[in-house]
Amino acid sequence: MWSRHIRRELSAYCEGELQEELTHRLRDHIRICRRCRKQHEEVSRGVLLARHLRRPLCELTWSEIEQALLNPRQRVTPGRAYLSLRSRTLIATACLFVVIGYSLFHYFASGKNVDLDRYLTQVESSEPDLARQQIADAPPGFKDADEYAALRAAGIAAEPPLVGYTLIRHRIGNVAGKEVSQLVYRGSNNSFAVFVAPHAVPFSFGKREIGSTTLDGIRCQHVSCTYTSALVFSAARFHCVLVSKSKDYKELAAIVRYFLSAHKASEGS
Amino acid sequence: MPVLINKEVLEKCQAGDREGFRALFEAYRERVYGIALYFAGDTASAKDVAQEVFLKLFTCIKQYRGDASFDTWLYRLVVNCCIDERRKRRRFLPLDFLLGRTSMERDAATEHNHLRVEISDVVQLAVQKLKPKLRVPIILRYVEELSYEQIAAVLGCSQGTVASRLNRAHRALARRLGHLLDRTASGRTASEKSHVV
Repeated sequence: MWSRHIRRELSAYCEGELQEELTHRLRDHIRICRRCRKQHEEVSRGVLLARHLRRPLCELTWSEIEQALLNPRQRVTPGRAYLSLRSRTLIATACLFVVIGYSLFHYFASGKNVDLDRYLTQVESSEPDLARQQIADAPPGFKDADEYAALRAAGIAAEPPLVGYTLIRHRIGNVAGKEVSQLVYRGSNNSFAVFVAPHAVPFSFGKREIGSTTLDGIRCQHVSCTYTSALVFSAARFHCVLVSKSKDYKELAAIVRYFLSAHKASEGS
Repeated sequence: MPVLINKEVLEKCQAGDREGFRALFEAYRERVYGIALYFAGDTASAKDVAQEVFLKLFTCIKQYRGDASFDTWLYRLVVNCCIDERRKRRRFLPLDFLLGRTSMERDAATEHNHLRVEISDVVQLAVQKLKPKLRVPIILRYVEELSYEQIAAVLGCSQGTVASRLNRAHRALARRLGHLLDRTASGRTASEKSHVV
């Protein structure tokens, strides 16, 4: 405590502002306390430096003050160039708008549809052994969800399971505020994925060509892929994309028919 | 603290007499400008601040009731005005700032280049870089030569606080500019030696 007290009073001690008794006590303490002695040296140097300060010559004249008294808003001194707070705020706001605009552009450009371009590219380029895994992968924005929730979002919750296949992955993606399901089924020889979205949410396949086709009497569209079957079909208030490595049209037609009937049943109920 | 004006002048000022104002201005202009310069950093801004202080002084001198000494009252006004101006100016970014230096620093640098830099200029710059809380007591103590008691009265704090702030300010100055004293001392020793030889 005493040591702290000394340090606080060192400036006053150096400048002779302390009472005589306290000055003696401080002097005695500085002799025996190394830390205080060191600080005393530092403060003494500071005092020596501060004593070099001098009052500057005044450049202000009475006429200037008189002029300002007559016109209080007028500054007699030349104005300095300032970057005002308003300018800085404007610059900051402009930057903020650019960032927000860029983000919104990306959100609306890429977030309004279900982009399956990259997903299809991966499935196309995969080796036959890895095809099952690639089909089961999730496109960007899709997350694992509860099975019932995914089926309900796909509009087929009430339908019995597809015979010969097991539902192994069930995901939901949120696109433009609407839920899109990805259901991945595995059979004994084949795996496939079905993406189910409301009609309001379109699918995007990049620059791939889309053509019309009839699959065992069912009208649908096919997306041009060399090693993969990608079929787009409409089912009640949904439209779906079936992605499979299989080229067996009967098998694909059976899957499409299952979804059509499931949606029809769902609509009816 | 020497009394620079008498009661008569004060009464004249309170009555709105222009000659009274002029006498008051002539008596205190150097003090006010000195503090303003240490606060503002350049002559143009210092003139602005000093002018602002005097305009404020002339408009509110009627509020002075004589409870404290006029000098203490004026110093308080000057310090508050400087702090207010600094706060206002902080909202503006001087274009000098974008260039990285203030005009005083440029002047000092130029002087340094010509090997004419004086220790007082360097100390002045170092004081300007202190926090206002530490700068004000240093200015009042060494430029205005007020006692600890008077500084405490101006700042409205205890003498202990003044002592503590001065202590911190001294140490900050010593840390930044201690080498100058060594150089001065060695220079002096060398010149003494040359005299002896």
